[in-house]
Amino acid sequence: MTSMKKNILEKAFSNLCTAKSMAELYETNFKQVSKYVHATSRGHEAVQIALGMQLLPQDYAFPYYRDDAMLLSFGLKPYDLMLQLMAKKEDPFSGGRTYYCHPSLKDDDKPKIPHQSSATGMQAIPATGVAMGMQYKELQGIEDQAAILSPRAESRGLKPITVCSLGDASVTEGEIAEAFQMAALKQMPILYLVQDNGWDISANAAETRAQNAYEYAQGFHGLEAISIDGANFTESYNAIEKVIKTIRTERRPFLVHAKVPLLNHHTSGVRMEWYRDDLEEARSRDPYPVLKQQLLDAGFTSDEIKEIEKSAKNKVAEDFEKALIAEDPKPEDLFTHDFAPTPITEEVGERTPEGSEKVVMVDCALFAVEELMRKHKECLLYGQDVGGRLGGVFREAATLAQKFGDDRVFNTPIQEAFIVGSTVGMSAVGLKPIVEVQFADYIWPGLNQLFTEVSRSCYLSNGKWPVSMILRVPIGAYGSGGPYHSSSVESVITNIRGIKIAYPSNGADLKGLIKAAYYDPNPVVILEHKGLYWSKVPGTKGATSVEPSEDYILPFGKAWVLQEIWKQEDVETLTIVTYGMGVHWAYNATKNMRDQVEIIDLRTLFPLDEDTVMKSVKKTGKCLVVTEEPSNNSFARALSGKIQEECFKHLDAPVMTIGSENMPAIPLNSTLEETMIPSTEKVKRKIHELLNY
Amino acid sequence: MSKFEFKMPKLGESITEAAIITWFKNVGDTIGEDEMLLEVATDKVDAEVPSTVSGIVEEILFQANEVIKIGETIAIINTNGSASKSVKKDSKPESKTEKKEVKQKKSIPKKLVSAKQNNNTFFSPLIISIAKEQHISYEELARIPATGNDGRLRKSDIFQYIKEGRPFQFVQPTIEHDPTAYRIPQLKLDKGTGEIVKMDRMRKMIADHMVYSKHTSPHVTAYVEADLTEMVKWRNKNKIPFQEKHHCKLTFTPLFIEAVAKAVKDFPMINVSIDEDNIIVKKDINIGMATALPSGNLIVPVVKNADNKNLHELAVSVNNLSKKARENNLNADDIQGSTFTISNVGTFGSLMGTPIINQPEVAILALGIIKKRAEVMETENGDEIAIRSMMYLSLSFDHRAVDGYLGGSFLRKIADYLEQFDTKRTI
Repeated sequence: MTSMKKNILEKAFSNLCTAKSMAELYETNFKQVSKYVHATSRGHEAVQIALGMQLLPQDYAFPYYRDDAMLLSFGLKPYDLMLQLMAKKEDPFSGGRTYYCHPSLKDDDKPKIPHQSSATGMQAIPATGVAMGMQYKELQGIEDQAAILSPRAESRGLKPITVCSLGDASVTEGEIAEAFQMAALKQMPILYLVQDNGWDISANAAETRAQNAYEYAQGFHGLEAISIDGANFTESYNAIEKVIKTIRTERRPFLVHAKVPLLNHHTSGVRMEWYRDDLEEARSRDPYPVLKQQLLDAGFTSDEIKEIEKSAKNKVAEDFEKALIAEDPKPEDLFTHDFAPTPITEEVGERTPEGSEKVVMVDCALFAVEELMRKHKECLLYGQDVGGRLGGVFREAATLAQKFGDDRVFNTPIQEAFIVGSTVGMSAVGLKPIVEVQFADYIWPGLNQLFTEVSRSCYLSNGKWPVSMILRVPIGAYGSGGPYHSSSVESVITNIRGIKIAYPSNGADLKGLIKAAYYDPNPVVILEHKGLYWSKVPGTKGATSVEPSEDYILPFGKAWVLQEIWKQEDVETLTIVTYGMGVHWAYNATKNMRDQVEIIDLRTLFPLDEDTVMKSVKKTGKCLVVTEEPSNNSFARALSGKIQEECFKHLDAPVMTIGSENMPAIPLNSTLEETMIPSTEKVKRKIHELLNY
Repeated sequence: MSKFEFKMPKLGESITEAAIITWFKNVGDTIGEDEMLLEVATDKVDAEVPSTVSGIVEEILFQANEVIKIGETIAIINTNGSASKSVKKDSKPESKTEKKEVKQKKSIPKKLVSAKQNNNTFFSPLIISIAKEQHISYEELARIPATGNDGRLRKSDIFQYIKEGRPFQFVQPTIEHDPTAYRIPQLKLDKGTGEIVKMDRMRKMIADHMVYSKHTSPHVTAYVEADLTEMVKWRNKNKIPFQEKHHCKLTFTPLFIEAVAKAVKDFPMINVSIDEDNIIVKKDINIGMATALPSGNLIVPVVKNADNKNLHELAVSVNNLSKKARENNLNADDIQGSTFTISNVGTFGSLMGTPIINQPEVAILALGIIKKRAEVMETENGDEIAIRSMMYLSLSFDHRAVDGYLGGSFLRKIADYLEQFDTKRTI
């Protein structure tokens, strides 16, 4: 064992005493501090501090909810953490929005901490996304500003690493496998620290796993793993020092499996005395006496040690008093940072340039991405089968890998969670990922990341970490696609707050919206109808467009009144509100009543251009919302309700909705499919029903 | 031989009987289809009832003030009478109505035989708001031919009906009207085409004020003529000395204001405003003078306490206000508190005017152009024709507060003060 510098030991011990004092103080003041749930690091401190002390400002860390000792070792004060403990307004991480020890931080002098959810293990994919981003930047020669500008001189020029902290119980989750797979496959600069205390909440290792994380890591070739005693500070520090040095220079992933005892409750909400059968044994492995002995061995006197302990304890008590009286958030604080402001608010550029050719919708998207990639090194595209060999199953990425290389346009494994969740990390290091799930039918495994990590990052980090990404989702029925290549999912997506959603009906809109999405600092989902990509579905020639110019941008939240009518008193009139394929059904269905029916193409489902909708319905007095989804409990139904609420006094008939039949799937057989989904004819009948109402 | 029994029509779901107010036709009169036959009253509404057939009124079975059950026969009309229109009438108008309703769009609704009630009396929020705007009662709505599914009244039905002149309109119950509300009559004016200039805020305020004033105050205008020869002479003589002494131009306006203020003092009931049932008699005499702004809009700056100012002070005040108006510099205080207003229409060359009262005042004076005219003067040598400087004065007053005697006397008094101008006065 290499001998440890005294100042490192002193600092580590001080951190440990501080963390321990905090845990003890929270127990003493249980009633006061347990209004909101918290967990402490008690028992895990040594390895957390050993890691935390060695991270640099250019590094990215994903500490999880038991890592308060790690946060102290980053230089955060007990006061900072206690503000979050009591959900105070000045909580530096979330402004009182999320629980204790759920950090997100962007301080110049500390490791960067992107937002991570409270769901265990879910941080593995975003963290791996950061490592993938670091690797991408190095490959593309994009400078790491944090390393250049680091306020700590000794760290300048060193390559950054990513640290993902996990509890062993989370390693059994499926998403962890996706993360490990990618880190190992692509040899990313990431350290997975797995703290293994042998417990879930009440379920123990024997019940929940066939192997521990160290053993599990053996299955991921290229992921080197070590196992250490996480309760021994010196051992932990030395082992991690070596690992970090290797990652900084060799740029490959490591897993450090650290055995630790859990000495406090799982969280303040669960009392360990109720179910723990190993408390005695666990206490025998307390890291605190171990480190104390290491100090004595290094020549510290008992008095010096007592002094460190006393001052830590006093500082904790002092900070607690201060935190208790700190200000609570105000009701109006609820409404900030759901989104970062976007610079794209006006339609600019030439939508229909003279002399340009009409192109199919899929090519409008392709050209948009191509123009973006040519202009911005930060822009990259990945997903299933988008790489050079195929260029997307709809040829929506054709030729891009050839033009920009396999590092910027590449295939992923069949990993929707990774495809979606890695963008959190990519965006955190300043990149602009465009990713794709192959079919909307397969978005489900990615929804967890979209909801849990992507959509809430900006809000729960109080605006520090908006996720700038584009998720392209080919969607919709396009003729005999069957139950797993035809589904519509927009109601699920629109139920997630914190993302923007486009659903264009034509190529020009798609191109303009992709551009707007790229420059938007927030996450954007673009639903691209497969039947419109190539105007494959009969009657959808209208989806082809003259390709807009390179500078054409169409902001979100601006609906298009593609068929406008005058207010008419002695003729029955109607507004159709729709999007995507519905626009084509509506347009075709109104062939002989162009001056009776106004059609609004929403273009984006969020933000929603309610003004345009309500103004039109107030003018026409009747409204039909057209969707491709089964109509029950859908976005369209909710919108109908909202229109009804807003326009009630102006309505001459109930707002109606037409969508697919309410069956579980779109069947394969074409007769059944036709029966299931709306069509021009069905929409036409509904229009007549409403006009004649 | 075809005798049609005219029955008391159904006037509303909840109405079982109605009283006859008046018959518009007498026995022997001819009546056309849709022509009003009688007026009836119910506890809900008064309604004019049109005839559903044309013919000759043969019998009237009930007289005014009698209360009749709905459905009871109240008159007999001989449909073989000479008044029959060229259209052949069916003896079963009910069934005919139904037929017509089916092909409502093409039929000429004037021919609708009866105000049959719709069975479907559900009215959408839109229909209700249109009805409210157009002052159409539920009973009337129920009579409009409806073409929607299940006989529902649609937007197009109600507008079609309005377009046709509302053949089944009921007389509007007057209690529902806000008496102060001005309702725009449905005149369907041809507004023509041309460049559209949006009214600015001030223009709109002026418009509102003028409409309100005309609508609120019964205007009466009285005229007098005044011989200003002496005053004009005096002013011409003193124009330059006044300017030299006071560094201030001497126009006619301060001279007029002086005379007006004196007359107001003599007739304090002119210096009032109306507040519902009360008349507020103002202590101060503040004379507003209608002035044009550079934009062309009208504004009324106020000479405060005009009765306490001497000629010099009045001139300063008038000139000062005019200058500020020209330069768009009037402040809020300059245009507040007027109790009586004058408008010098003579400056535009007008002989006289019928000014609109500046609310909430009760009178306004217009001063015409001073013009030399040949006047017959009574002298010691008998009547002579002389060239005199004459001016017409007109006073519009609110007849709610001011009667002809007061208005006329006050107006004459102003003229007297102007005519009896003291030519020896110094500046």
